[in-house]
Amino acid sequence: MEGTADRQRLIAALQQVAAGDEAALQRLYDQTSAKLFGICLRILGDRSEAEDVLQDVYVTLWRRAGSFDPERGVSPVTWLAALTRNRAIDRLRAGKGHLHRPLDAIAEAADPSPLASETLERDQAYRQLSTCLGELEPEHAGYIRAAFFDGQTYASLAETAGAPLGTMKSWVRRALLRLRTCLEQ
Amino acid sequence: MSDRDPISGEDDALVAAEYALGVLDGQERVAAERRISTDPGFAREVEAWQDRFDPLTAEIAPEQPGPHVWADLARRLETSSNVVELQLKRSLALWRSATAAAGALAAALALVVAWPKPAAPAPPVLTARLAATAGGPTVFVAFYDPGRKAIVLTPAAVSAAQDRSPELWLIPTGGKPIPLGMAAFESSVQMIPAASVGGGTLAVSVEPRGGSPTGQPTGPVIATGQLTNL
Repeated sequence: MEGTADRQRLIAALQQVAAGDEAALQRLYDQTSAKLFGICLRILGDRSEAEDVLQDVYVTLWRRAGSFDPERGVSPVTWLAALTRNRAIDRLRAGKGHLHRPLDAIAEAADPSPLASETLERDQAYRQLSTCLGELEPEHAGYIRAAFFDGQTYASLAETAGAPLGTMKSWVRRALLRLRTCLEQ
Repeated sequence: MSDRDPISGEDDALVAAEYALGVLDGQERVAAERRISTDPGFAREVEAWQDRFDPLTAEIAPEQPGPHVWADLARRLETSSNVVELQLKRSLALWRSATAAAGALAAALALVVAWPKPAAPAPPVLTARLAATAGGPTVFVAFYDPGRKAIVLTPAAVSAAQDRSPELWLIPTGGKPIPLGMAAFESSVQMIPAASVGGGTLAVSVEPRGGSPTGQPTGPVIATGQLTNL
């Protein structure tokens, strides 16, 4: 999804959107809404809530797209996905409380679905991250995946796993440190 | 056994990871968000973690949102400018008088540059008609006099809440917005920007009085227009 040309096109669209170009917003929407909607839907699990958050994301881009700074070297897709995930998480937390998914749902999340075809660079990053997650204790990797994909908090993870909050925090923090070390190798 | 976590020294660095992952809740999440906007080092650390986790999004199947999402969005954008009580007065009379005023100003500026003939041919006066939508009513008219390096921005038909001011930006092709100066909704303002203006797009955003706090547009962009030779 993100070759160099796509990346340049997205950066240009974000800048034109920042300048108030509505046609550029439509181009941006056409290029990114399916990926971003997938993220909203995965976290919220409800189509209409997910559509609501998706709209919020583009309204935010329309008003404040200038906050994307290509000079910091962040990929526009990564930036958009992180913004969207955060909006979806905020909506989840503002809603009826957390979805308490049973442990088998967490285990199920550890079974990766087939990769959509993306560029080699992203495939490599994915493989490296998968390898590093695979080096963690399987339950700890499961907690990280449940937080990432389902918006679980320390509190909901602790409750789901039947572990004290402090213990869960220490497991996840240790896992994050090991992950960083592994990714930096 | 001490109840101190042996990795507590890393706690601070880990907050960025915890925020990026999404496990923080309530006050802790709000505090991390506040820190992102005030602590650039922390913001970069969060971005680094977002980048580390990002490959996981490849596991999420893309899904087309319903066609009504774009339609609703377009409608919301129409009304979002009302948030700052901005009213584009679309009356024909105002539009005519604005066009006439712009014409007079153009003639005056043309005289200014035409009269004292410099030895080398002067770079052309640039002008831009700034509108909310392509082909829509003019909201501001801008003239750039390269001799004096001055821009005059004249409002045509626009007003906004008292505590807001319009700020003028230059958007070079493929570049980030460059602030040119603060304008006004009620009167023409002349500004001598630090940046050189050779072409590109002008944009006006609505900012807090005194201008954007970030150096980039933070409020809605209410009008844009391409600079062209007069």
